[in-house]
Amino acid sequence: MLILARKTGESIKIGDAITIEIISVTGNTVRIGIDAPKEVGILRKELYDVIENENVNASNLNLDFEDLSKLIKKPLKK
Amino acid sequence: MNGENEILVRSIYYPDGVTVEKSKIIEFVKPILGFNSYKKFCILNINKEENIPFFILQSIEDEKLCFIIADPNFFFKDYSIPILEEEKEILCLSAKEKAIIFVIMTACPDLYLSTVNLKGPIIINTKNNKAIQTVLNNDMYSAKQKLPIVKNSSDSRSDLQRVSKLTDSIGVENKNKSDML
Repeated sequence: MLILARKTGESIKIGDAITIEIISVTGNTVRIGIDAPKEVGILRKELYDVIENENVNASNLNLDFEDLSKLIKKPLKK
Repeated sequence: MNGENEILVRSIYYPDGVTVEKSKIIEFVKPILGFNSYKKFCILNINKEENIPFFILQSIEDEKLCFIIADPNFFFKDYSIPILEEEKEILCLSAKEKAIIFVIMTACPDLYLSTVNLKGPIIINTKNNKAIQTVLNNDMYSAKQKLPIVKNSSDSRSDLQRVSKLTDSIGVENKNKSDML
């Protein structure tokens, strides 16, 4: 991990398209401004991790087709 | 059989492959989180005979990668999500156009224990088949939402059956969900 020290008002560039600016610092809290293309998602890491985790869980299906059909058919029987 | 407009998509659920029209291929312009290199998917039915709110989101690039997705409004009538301006831009979604929303299901053999991710829904622009997974930045919805059904007991009808009676027009063809912004 690259660690840089920046003062309020200073910025960092990541690649060509992403700029991070330190807006203000109050106690333990840093306000960070981020300029990035729309295609690049920006999320608090905790939130990213929750969704990514759940996506990975969801992709690890251990149901075969019969299980899946049965699973889905069962509650919908008229 | 394989015309110029079709491709054969293999899936663990359809090992012999399914013919899919190229015009139906969905492209994630912002990837599913954790699956950055998988851009192209298609939606397959699980069971052709019945109108059910579940589908398979199958990767075109890896036959082993697929997700079970669900129509959230079938289970949660009031589920609505804001679509941000920049999301509309990358989806090329104009103000008048409608997007469809799906949620990814983490399926267990017991439907009662299965959950859907209401916090990270999939938005698809049906006009151009561009898709994203958006992440809701509030506490309103859970990434592990149980479905509103009662535990199966041999002689009681489940809530899901009652819901399906009320909403029996929902099916594979019902793709006109509006974005709620």
